[in-house]
Amino acid sequence: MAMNSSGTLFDSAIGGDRRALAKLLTIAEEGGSMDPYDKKTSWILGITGPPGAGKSSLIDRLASNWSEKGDSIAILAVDPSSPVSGGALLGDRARMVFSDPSKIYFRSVSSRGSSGGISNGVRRMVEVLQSLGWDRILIETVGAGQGEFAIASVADRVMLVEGPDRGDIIQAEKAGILEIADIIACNKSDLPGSLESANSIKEGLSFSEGAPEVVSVSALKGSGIDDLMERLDQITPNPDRLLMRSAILLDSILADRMRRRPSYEGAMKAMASRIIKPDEAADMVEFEDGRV
Amino acid sequence: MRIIIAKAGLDGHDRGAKIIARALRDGGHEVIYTGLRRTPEQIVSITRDEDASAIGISTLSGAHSRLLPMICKILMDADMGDIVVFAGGIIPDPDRDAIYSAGVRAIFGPGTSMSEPIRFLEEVQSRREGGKPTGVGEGGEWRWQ
Repeated sequence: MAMNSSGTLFDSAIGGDRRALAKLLTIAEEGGSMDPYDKKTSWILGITGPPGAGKSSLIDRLASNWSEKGDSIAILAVDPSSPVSGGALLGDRARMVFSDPSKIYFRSVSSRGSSGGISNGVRRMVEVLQSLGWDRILIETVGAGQGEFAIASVADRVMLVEGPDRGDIIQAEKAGILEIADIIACNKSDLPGSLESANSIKEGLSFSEGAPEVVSVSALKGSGIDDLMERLDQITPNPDRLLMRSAILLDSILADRMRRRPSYEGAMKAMASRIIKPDEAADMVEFEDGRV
Repeated sequence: MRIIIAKAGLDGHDRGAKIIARALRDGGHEVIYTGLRRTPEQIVSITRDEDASAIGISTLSGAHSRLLPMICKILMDADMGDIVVFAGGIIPDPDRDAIYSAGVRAIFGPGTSMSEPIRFLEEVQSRREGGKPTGVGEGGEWRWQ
């Protein structure tokens, strides 16, 4: 591994060698040792939302517009891995039709079964990109649950993408997910019902203080994109939301550490066969080796 | 292994590519699908950016004799001769020798079972660990039969 040490790769990557960059990110993702470097930029956006809301298409539009303005864009697209085989089908890249692949760095990342585990990997990858001076770093995650928010929370600003007429807007409201985002992009404004849907999100948020902005966009037609770009730049993360996101991220990292403990599997199986109760199983894992 | 499944050129039929992508995922691999109509240059830069170690190209357009050697050459020019290239789709027998000589290590035609590409990749893995020539630019006569 001497010739692939992170230092040599970093020097090549800073000179524009994309293969060195890709290999450096693999080391970061897998938790390998990295030399510390100064971070040069810190515009990091997390994007999450339910499947089919149009996240990848919207990212494609945004990335293409930013890159036309001369910004360098790096995208980390996280997709879930199969719980059965551990393999993953990473297809977000197929949506990238507008942005020029020679100007944008796009990297598919498998969640490898654990949002807590991969959020660490993604954070290390972001740090590499920051120290190489990429202007804007985007983290895309699929879904609108706690796990996806945990990964997106590695970023310093978070956008939730929703589509029109989705019952899960109500679901997201119930789970309090809407409040955790800094901005909500209601995509597919070219479709009927999208205005109603944007309004219903706004209504749902109207009683919460410091509620996120709701913006209507169409990734397909390109409408509302300039406005969204402006608002994304104006986000000043609200301290309450930062606290909520930090809590979600910390929870997922702690859960991942617990899952890696040797006693986890035994506790889980004993719980499944009703030999012990859930809180007893949790005690078994938490206090293994007699730790208190 | 991280594997790119690619569709090159003017070819809109990607059912086969999607099925193979699923099969490889179920075999425990991380599969990145490029989407339709990528140029050979784009396929190589995707492979580089994704730090993938293999590319599977699905071709049903009849342009295999031009596109496959082109992708192999661009890989070698980019100093990526360690990448393993395999192909699938409609590639008639008389065309295959030239494609193998360009550096493609396996061709999976119609009727191939889902387990075959997975076994091919296992063989690739063990050849690599044994330091045997496997990549597109590493030479040697080895090909999957």
